[in-house]
Amino acid sequence: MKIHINGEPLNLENGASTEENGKVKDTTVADALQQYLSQKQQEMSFAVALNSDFVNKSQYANRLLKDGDSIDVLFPIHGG
Amino acid sequence: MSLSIYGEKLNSRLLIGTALYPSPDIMKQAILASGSQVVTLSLKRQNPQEQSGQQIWQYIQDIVKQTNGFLLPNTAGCKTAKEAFTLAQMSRELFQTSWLKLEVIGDDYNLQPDPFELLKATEMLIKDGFNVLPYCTDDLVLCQRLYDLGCEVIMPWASPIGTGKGLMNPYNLETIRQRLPKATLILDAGIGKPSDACLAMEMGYDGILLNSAVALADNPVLMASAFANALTSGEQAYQAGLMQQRQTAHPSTPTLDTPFWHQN
Repeated sequence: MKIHINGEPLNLENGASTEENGKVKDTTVADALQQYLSQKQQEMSFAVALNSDFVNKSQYANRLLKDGDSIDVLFPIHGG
Repeated sequence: MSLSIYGEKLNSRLLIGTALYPSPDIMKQAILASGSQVVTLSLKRQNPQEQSGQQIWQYIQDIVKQTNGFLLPNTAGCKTAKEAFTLAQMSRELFQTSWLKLEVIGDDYNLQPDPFELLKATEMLIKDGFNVLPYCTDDLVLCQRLYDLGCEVIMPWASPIGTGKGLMNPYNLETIRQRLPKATLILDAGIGKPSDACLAMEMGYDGILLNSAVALADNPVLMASAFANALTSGEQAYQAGLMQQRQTAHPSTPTLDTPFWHQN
């Protein structure tokens, strides 16, 4: 499955769904973040939007992805 | 004298940005020297290799802890109400605050706020529980509409962001102050000199939000201190009540019993 994260194309290794212990597991926002972010970034503070809509942190593991989705992962930065 | 923003009492009337300083250390020293308890910051994309934002975030957290202060996230870069709404929700989760400096830009050349999208975004955000501090132009009717929607704080510009041109239209700013006596008015953007800030405080503005004027000074720490003094001076002058301007000269020294050279 192909999606975009922060404007960059990303091929999700698992595709739309994968089988785990005989059960079908769908690909979620959490899967995409795990693949895209460095280990250090995963421990940092960030916030996520999917197709320009906010995704609450508690929903990362539940929000399913489909081909062509676009994720924004934003981090704190200085501002005026 | 303290400033109150959405129920929080602050010791300083200066709100300050965290961008454009020569280094994070100088940023921290300057903000501490300013006495400000409200610092603005933002959210941006970051590629997986980059970690500079994390260092700044650490500094900002230290400053807030040290000043017993508050974060004021902005929606810089947003051009529509929908974009600003999403970014605001992301900021609220990450920074754990319902305060929001709402920026919705309508023109890329002078970064002028879009009044129509700004009103739309304000309405959406207030319904969603945000305490909105809208950055707007110095238009009385726009400020009135923002106040009517429920903004306790309104932030008209002095001049376009980062220009340092000071108060472009003092008449408009004075009119907004006079017509919205109960609103908390903070002058935001375009401040270049401490005397600009002092002038706004003399008009009765409740506070000043600035960034470039301190960050781009040759000595940001000293300039931060100069702004703190200017705000105090302007505020005291407003409370003391300025004299009325007069069209003709009036001698300060008594004219009765003048010395001999006027007697003939």
